[in-house]
Amino acid sequence: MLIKVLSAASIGLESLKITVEVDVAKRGLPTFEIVGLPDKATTESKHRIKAAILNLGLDFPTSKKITVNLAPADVPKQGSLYDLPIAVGLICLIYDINLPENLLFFGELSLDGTLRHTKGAFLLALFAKESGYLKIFVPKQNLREVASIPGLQVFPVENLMDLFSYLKDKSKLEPVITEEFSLDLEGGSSKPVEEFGGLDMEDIIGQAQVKRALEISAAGGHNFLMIGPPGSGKTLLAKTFPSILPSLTLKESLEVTKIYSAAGLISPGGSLIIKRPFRAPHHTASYAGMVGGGAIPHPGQISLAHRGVLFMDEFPEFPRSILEMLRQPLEEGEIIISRSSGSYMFPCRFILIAAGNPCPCGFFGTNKVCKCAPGQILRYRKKLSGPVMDRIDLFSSVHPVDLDKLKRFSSKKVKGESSKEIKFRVEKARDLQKERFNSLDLVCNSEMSNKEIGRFCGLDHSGNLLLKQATELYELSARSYFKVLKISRTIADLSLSEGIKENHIAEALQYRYKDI
Amino acid sequence: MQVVDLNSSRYPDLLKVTKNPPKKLYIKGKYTPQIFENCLSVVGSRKMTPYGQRVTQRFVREVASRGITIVSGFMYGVDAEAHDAALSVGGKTVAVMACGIDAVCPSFQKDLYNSILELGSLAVSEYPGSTQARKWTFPQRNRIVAGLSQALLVVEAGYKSGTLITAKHARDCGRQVFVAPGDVFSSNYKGICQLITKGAKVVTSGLDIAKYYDADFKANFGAGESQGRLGIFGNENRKRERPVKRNLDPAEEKIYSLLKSSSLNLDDLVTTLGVSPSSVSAKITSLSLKGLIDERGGIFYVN
Repeated sequence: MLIKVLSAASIGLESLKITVEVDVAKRGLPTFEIVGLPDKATTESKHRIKAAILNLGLDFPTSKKITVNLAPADVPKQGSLYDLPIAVGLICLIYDINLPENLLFFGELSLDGTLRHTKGAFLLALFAKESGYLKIFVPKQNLREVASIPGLQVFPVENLMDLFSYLKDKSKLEPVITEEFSLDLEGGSSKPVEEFGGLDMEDIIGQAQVKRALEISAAGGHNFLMIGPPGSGKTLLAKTFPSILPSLTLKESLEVTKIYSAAGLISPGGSLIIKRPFRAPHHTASYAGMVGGGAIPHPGQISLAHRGVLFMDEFPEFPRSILEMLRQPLEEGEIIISRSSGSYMFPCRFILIAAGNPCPCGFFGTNKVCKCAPGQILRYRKKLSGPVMDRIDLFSSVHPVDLDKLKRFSSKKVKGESSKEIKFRVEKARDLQKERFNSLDLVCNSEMSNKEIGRFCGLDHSGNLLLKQATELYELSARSYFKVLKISRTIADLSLSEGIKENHIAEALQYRYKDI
Repeated sequence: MQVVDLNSSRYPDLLKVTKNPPKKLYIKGKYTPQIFENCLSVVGSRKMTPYGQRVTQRFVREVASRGITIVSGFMYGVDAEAHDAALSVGGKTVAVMACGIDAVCPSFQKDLYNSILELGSLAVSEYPGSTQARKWTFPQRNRIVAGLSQALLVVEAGYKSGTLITAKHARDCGRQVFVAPGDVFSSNYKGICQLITKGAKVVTSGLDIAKYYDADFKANFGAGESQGRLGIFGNENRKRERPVKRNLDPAEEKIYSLLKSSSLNLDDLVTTLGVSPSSVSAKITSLSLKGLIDERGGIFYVN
């Protein structure tokens, strides 16, 4: 007796159909085998299935030879999501139920027959929709995630028993159908992946220049490096950054959700990711952890930061290999990981916010005495030069706010601009850029190449004069020159100005890289 | 490279009269004995603060532009800054090396070393060949640094530092010791405070130092010659009369006058003036392009 049940697998961001073939043979020694390159979790599913079926009081062909093949047999299978299709196949065989065609199943079984939250459900459901398998059966805890995709009939299964009843006489289960994608899901839908207690820019005293730099960075998508001694507030400032970024669009949200689904980071009961990701990997992060990796690659931190922020604190402490690695993703907005089994593409278009000390001890160039040997400082600085620095447009030094000022301001309750106000300006500036790059494949000013800079960053006479003067005095390289133009464009956009004015350039010049 | 023997007439006179002059002096660069006629030694902490850097640059430029040779020990920090400042105004400088004459220590200052030689200044050492610098060669070298000059300027010195050894040598040879004042709470000024209590003279500009040379010169050779040779007062007068044509708008004027009283970072300016960071940034750029202000590590000050 043989039955075929449909399921799906995802490798990287790609998915494919998996046919689960269940065979209960009349002859042969009583065994239960799963073939088709299962990993450990998949192999163990036979124990879960057997226990679950018996615990529900159903029959199990203990004395028969059971063979399960996960076809295509040469693709490695990972995870526990085949529990449900295998169990369905067995039940249908035991109770001689005719399984309707084109039903798709996935989910992990618990020993008592209930279904557990399963990773990667969003990607699989998206695949199901694209391939026309519109009736899918998923664990109830995955309902919100899967049901966010319109046009699917999603059957939330709480218990294998309910599914058994449904298959027998169409009772117990009702499909959930969504009309269209929506980001206004009730109850905040998904939790933001990293929450920082809702920091707001208005809560930070002083630091006007860095806040302004962050605003420019958010408006134009520019990568930003801040350098300052320990305790000057770099990390705190970076953490407020997501609060001034424009909200995710639906298209962006789907991209992000796909990546998080592939990484198994959508929590039970979660749905579409509607907040921009903020990833802050520690400087001991491994290469694979940053880029993505594994035999079957998982997205790394740079992909998890897609459409959001990658915050690299202690930037010069990161290994050189990782800093070098950032170059291509920063330029292309995607990373292609090649393995012997194939190449996997993960998008990674993020804003890089980097923070570092001026030297290993942190006090070089301040009025405290630096304890570093000059060789140490040179080596530390060397990490800040080179290719990755070419991709960073904005620089700012950060100074600690002195205690008197902190006290004075916190007692007076003087607040700066709130994140909401800044975000409003940022969104307006983004709208202008959208209009400008309408016919081009660009989103932000930061993505402009020299050709587009020439086209969109024309200067008037006084502006030209100022920039020429500055180029000579500050000895700007050609690269810095173009960076200044890009930043000026964003500053002009923030003040809703069509042309780039003299004062925009003058301000942009303060964000060039200055040797400390 | 030249070797000058202790008995040679080309041996610097001031060094000859010290307690323990080196028997031989190895010299690199175009050597004329005139370079040692009026010398000021400048020493200080390796771990210079931005303030110490400004002091060194300002004082040394004022002194070196008056034809006084700047002698220092070619270490990083204040030493290197002093050499650099002297060269930047076209002055002469002498680098006293702690290593052999053919070596460069610290090696990462090779560029500075080369420009010292290219711009007609000297590198000297009491060690031949490429003798390596050792822990004891640094204090040994300090006696030469102190011995070559009529006076010593100390910028920043820790409580127990090589800088104080140089100052002790200078005092022992009866040379004038000048110190630049600073923050009494900073560890970089513990040594300075010590020197002040022992009678070092506090100077607040390079002109104070230049005047000492002028007076010294007058005492020895008479006033007329002094002006002809060094032209100290002539230079000073010209500097005072420098017409200040600024052409600033009111906002720039405000920032400029604030920076005149103390150096500030951009954030301080924003809070004090109560205007937006973007407009302060723009004004700062324009002041900097006019050459009125300068910046180091995000802190702005009047040039």
